[in-house]
Parts: sequence; structure tokens; C-alpha cells
Amino acid sequence: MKKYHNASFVAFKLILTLGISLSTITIFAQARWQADVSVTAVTITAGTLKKVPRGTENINKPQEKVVQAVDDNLKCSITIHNENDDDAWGTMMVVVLPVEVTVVSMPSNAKLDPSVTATQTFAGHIIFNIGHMAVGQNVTVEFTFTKSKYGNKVGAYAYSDSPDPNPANNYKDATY
Amino acid sequence: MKFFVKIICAAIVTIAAFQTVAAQQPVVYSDISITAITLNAAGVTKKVPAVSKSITPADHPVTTTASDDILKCRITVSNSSVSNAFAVKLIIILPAGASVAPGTLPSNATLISERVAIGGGPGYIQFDLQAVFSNQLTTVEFTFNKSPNVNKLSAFVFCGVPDANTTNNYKEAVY
Repeated sequence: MKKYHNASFVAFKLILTLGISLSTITIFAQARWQADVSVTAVTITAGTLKKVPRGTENINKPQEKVVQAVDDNLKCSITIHNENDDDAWGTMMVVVLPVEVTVVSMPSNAKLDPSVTATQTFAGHIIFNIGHMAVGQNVTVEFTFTKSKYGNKVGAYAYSDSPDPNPANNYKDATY
Repeated sequence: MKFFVKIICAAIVTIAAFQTVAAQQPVVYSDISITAITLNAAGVTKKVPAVSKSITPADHPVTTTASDDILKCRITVSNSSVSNAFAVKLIIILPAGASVAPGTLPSNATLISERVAIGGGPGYIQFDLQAVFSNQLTTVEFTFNKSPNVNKLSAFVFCGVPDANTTNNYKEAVY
């Protein structure tokens, strides 16, 4: 009877060891941890709003004021997201600007391309240093630029140090 | 006299038309794009004889093939605009499980990975292509150790000169 108990104990230990080994192998074979960084939204809107008088035919009636968008400058808002099973480390985003625009305002983690000078004010791109992004985290950045005469398409490409299982969603663009 | 007036009027109209067209064209812009990415086996070459039941040696031709434990990536960047593109940078995201052997990247490339030392992934490669001249192309090549998983690689190019068409700046390839 004791012999049978010993045999089942050995079998149990064997199964346990095999199970642990298989789990370890599965973890290492799992393509490493990956972060799926993606650009989920790019929106371009008029940079400022102002109150303007609404036209009226009745001169006795006080003039109403309405809010109107002024699009001399455009505000761009870009949201990036990290999904999958790992944090995204050292996340960066390149934003390619429309032709012949000047950047009016941008956050402190943004760097204008170095070709912009006092005499050549048109920028080609902005690079955002987003940094660490946890799984499921969204980050939104905003900046303002002067409206281009030649079409206002903004393209954004996000990437990180962590391997990305789906790089096709790292790029998105929008046109005003 | 009338003839001269007509000539002058025609000249004024022509100049005005040219000025209108010129005003509609941006002064300086580029259209930088990735036109091709290829991934090929670049490991040690080995001789593989053809399998045949024939006893004639001619029926067993030996072909030389490169093993695919190392892959060579070749990326072509083009500038299809009238302006030169300066400060051109190319970002390449490596597949999970891949690695770059030390000292194998070209001198204008940098491997950026904060966590490679702790097994956090291969990171990405940044090429500093400097300039791609008007209607010219440039090609970069590098090798990496193949991933045991999917070998999908993606690249994005951008430059310091405003880009008229950003849609063609991204491309990917799978081995």
C-alpha cells in the first residue's frame, strides 16, 4: 500500500515538474512581450473662436453675437494608445506638417525640426517625446500651426523601444 | 500703334498668368517616400543537392542558398519633388525577437533600445540619410538576426523640408 502511495507521489512530482517546464517554455516562446502603439485619432480644427455680430434686418433690435471659428491658425490634436501585453518604453511620435506652415505653439515635450531658422520659418515636422506608456494608456498632444495655402494634411507616426506586433496602425493622417 | 498696344497687353496678361501659377505653388517642398522594402536570407551559404532517385550525377544539381537565420533588409527612399530633401531620417521598427549583431549597422545608423540589455526587445534603428536630392533615390541595407516569430518590419521616413504627401512615407514588409 505504501509502495502505491510512493508511486503516485513520484508521478505527481513528475507531472508538476513537467507542467512548470512547459509553462516556462511557453512564456519564452511567446514572441517576447510586445507593445502595440497606435495613433488612434488626428483632428484638425480652427485655432481660435471669436464672437462676431450676427446680421439682422431689424435695426431696433440689439445685435446678437455668435461664436465663429477663425482658421488663420489650426489646432491639431493627436491621440496615441498602447495596447497588448507590455508597456511601451521610450515612445516617440513624428508629426509631418503641411507645406509652408509655421508652428505657433506646442508643448514642452515637442521639438521642432532643426532646419527651422529665423529666416526659414517653415517647419517640416515636430518630434514628440512621449516616453513611457502603460498598457491601455492614451496620450493626447496638441499644437497649433498657421494654415497652409496648399492643403492642410497632417501625418503622425508613433513608435517605441518595445517591439510592436502591429506596426500598420502606427501611422494616421487627417486633412482640414 | 494698335499693334504695339496689343503686344503690350498680351505680355501683361501672360506675366499675370505666370504670377498666378507661381503663387499657387509652394516655394520649397519635398515628397519623400519609401518606394521599396525587401527582406532576404543573408546567412551562411550552404550547398543543397537536388533530391532524385536517379543515379546520374547530372540529375543531382547542387544549388547554393543562404540560410535565413540572418536577414538582409534593403530600403529605398525616394524624393519625387523639385526640391531637395534635407535632414532625412528613416525609422525602422524591428520585429519582436529579432536582434542586431553589434558592429553590423552602417555608420549612418543607430540602434535605439533602452531595454535591450534586460531582454526588453530589439528597439528600432534610426538612419540619418542627410539629403535626398530632387528626383533621386537612396538605398540603405542592414542585417539582423531573424526572429523566431513573425518577421514583419516597418519603416517611416521624414525630413526637415515640408512634405507635400505624407501618405507614402510609411511601408512594411514581411519575410
